[in-house]
Amino acid sequence: MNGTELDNLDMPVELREIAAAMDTLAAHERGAARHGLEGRVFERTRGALDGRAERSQKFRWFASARFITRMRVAAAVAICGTAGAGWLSQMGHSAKQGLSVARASTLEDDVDMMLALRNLGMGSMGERIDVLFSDTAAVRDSVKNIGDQSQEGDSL
Amino acid sequence: MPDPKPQPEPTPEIPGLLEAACRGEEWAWRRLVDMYGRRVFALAKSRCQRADLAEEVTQSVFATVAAKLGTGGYSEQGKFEAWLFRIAMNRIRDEMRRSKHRAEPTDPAVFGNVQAAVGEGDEDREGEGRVQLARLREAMARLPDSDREVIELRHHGGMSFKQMAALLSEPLGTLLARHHRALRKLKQLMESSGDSAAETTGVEHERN
Repeated sequence: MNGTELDNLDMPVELREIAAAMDTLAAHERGAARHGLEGRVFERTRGALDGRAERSQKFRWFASARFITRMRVAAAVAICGTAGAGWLSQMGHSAKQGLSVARASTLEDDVDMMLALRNLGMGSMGERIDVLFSDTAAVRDSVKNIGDQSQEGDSL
Repeated sequence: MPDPKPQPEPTPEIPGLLEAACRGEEWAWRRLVDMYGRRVFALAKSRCQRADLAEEVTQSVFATVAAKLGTGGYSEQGKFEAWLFRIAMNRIRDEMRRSKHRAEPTDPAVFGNVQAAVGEGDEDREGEGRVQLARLREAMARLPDSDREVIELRHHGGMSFKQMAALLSEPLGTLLARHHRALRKLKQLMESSGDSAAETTGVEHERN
């Protein structure tokens, strides 16, 4: 059974009255619109036919104040964040460099001071510095011997 | 004199109008608006119960349709009515969801206050007709959504069962059965509200 045949089927007798009442109600609803409905709808939608409404909507979207403000805020956050991250990383690197430089100068200064004291020939001080240096050398040599012996042990 | 039930337009005319509208020819678009404008309005009015809101919805629906035609987004070959009324139903649902947060309409007919809608003591024939319509609107509002949908598409939207089948993706026989079932429920609601009205009138007469 096709659509036309279905539409033309007789309504059951007990439902004809209510179906007619619904048709009357529907006709009243159609007539409830203010005069000139079709003209108003046509005038307000004709621009959409050639895509003008859609293009203008997109333009309005981009040009809206709210959109621009949000973009500005996002750009500012991104720039500040990048600059801040770069600055922080630079600060850390400089600090590290400064620290190692400070340590090196302190050690060199100490050695220079000890040599200077030794050369002054301050009696027992100079002898003590010699002992300290010789002890240091002895310790270094003994460490070296231990290392050689451990290697021989490994080979066995 | 209310408009008679719109007769389905000859099918061959629609594809031609759509092609012309897609090319931007405004005369074709005006013809389409004339053919379907009141039907979409009636569908919206049945739900919204307010003529101004129904006109807003109608305009929104046709704006969407025009945009799709204008940008080549229409591809429902041979199913224009189903497509149009699908857009309309979705738009009406959106509007009803939004309306839940708005103030309720103050039209007495909406609240089913039949006497207030007609005016007390109005016993002429026109008054009786208006009473009947108000009772019918009230009964429609009490129908389940699925039943109300079928009745509104058929009577307010003026759709054929074949077009409704395409819209709702249901077999023709199922739609016919749904329509008859919905009308039966509506009839029962009308009869029960009529009994209630008669009882109320009887009580008022006793008091007087």
